[in-house]
Amino acid sequence: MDFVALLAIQVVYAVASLALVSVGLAIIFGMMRVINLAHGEFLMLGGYAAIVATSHGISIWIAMLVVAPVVVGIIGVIVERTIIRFLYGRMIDTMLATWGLSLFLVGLTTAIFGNTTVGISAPLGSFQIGAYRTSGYTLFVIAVAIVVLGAIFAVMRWTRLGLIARGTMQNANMAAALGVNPPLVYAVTFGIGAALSGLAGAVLAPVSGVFPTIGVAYVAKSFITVIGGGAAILSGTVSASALFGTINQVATFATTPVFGEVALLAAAIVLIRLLPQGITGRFFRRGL
Amino acid sequence: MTPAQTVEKLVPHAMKKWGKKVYVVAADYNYGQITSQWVKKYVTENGGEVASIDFFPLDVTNFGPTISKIQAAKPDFVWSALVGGAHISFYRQWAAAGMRKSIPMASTTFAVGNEHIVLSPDECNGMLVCYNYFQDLKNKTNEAFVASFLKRFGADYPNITELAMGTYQGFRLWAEGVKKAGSVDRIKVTEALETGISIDAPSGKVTIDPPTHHCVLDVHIAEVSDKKLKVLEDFAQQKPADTAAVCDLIKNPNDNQQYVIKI
Repeated sequence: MDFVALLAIQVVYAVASLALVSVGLAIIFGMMRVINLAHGEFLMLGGYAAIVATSHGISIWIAMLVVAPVVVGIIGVIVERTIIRFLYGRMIDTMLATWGLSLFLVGLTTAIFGNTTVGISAPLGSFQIGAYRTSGYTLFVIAVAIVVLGAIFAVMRWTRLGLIARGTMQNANMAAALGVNPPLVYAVTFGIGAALSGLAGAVLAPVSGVFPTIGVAYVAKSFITVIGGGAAILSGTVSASALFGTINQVATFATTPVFGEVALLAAAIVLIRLLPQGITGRFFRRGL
Repeated sequence: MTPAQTVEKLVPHAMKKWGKKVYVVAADYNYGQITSQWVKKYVTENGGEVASIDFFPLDVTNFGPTISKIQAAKPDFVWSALVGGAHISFYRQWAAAGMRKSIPMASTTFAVGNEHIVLSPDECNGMLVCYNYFQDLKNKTNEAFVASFLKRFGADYPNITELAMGTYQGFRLWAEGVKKAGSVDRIKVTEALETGISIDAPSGKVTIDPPTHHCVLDVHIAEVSDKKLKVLEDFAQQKPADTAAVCDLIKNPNDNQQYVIKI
């Protein structure tokens, strides 16, 4: 029984962390049709922002939840203004540019911080479930994911900002005719996507460590989740994370970690073959 | 370094200290696959048992399920052959799950990537490792080497690792070979190296073992202690006995087989 409870926590954690690392990418891809290959590096920068802030005496919670998203959000806006905005509608060029940006950021952080960076340990200690112990931080990551997804839903559904964003994405010219400034909306959207990536990178820094190439460990899974989820940002991210996270964890428990990874990739291939538009191309089509 | 030089030393040391039931976690590539088999061999020979060997792709960062499985298996200690940045997550999540108090850990990969500096002391103090070189080795050559290394690369250089020393030894051995051969011709240098050239390295005397092209060298077991590696036990001039049992490049110079053990 306690093993089942532990398994349940692990599955929910896997789903939550997948949703957390993917949602920034989903916003940028889903709303702007920009494939940001530097997404992994935005996560990485979030981790570094948190580490630098804590080493300067800022509380770990403020460093992760405030400093990291603000810093990476600002970097995101700078990137959008200096690189991305010249490339809207040119998907291949954007991919090339963001891939270059990704290599640049990896090189830059290596030059600044070196390969050996002292990380931050997971706070909150551990707790007992029957005969097993697990990390309290696991529950925190789950909570952050729920709050982030809830906040995105609230902003998109109930605020004027969300309405403007959705309108601009559907028809930029019409939005402009109604007095909206599309370049501003794009810059803000890209900044918010980057900020959420920074937040995710910072929140996961204590569990996975921070080093210049950490982005590689996340970027493939984020892309699989976003593509698997399809066009709708929120329902796509949630449904794809739930599907892939569960398959990955259950397969890992039942067999080995190698098959856990294989099962995730196999599921993604089958899914895209059956639903080329992603999950939300067929289901939850009216979702956000 | 070969398994007979490190794994064979560390397995009995750790088993004497902690117990006979071992759980192996290893990176899913060449080194992890082969080394975990050697760990199994030495554990069995020392009268212990391997509860399980789990492999991980190199980009896995979530070790939650495995940590639960290890708890269910209740080993006396965990042997890690994990490598790379992503796998540092394992040690972190292990500590975060509060497992450090109940199950200790040994490794022949930990600290080669400065994991003991990246992690906090709370997350890895007391871990046992086994290598040829540690920066704090007490001998004249090493003290001079470390001093000039830090002068050249900065006093804040985190730690000179086993891998850095291996590269340095390799280059020095090659240079000795070139001196002896009086040429940089590949065959001539190889022949010179096969006379059993040795150097006085910071890690102690290093001699090429002609039949295997491995080295005879000193080995030490150390414990992680507050971001340092504290040497506990020394083994002087260890031969690559495992490779020597199967590979002879003097008799069979074109041998290019990768030898693995079957258990």
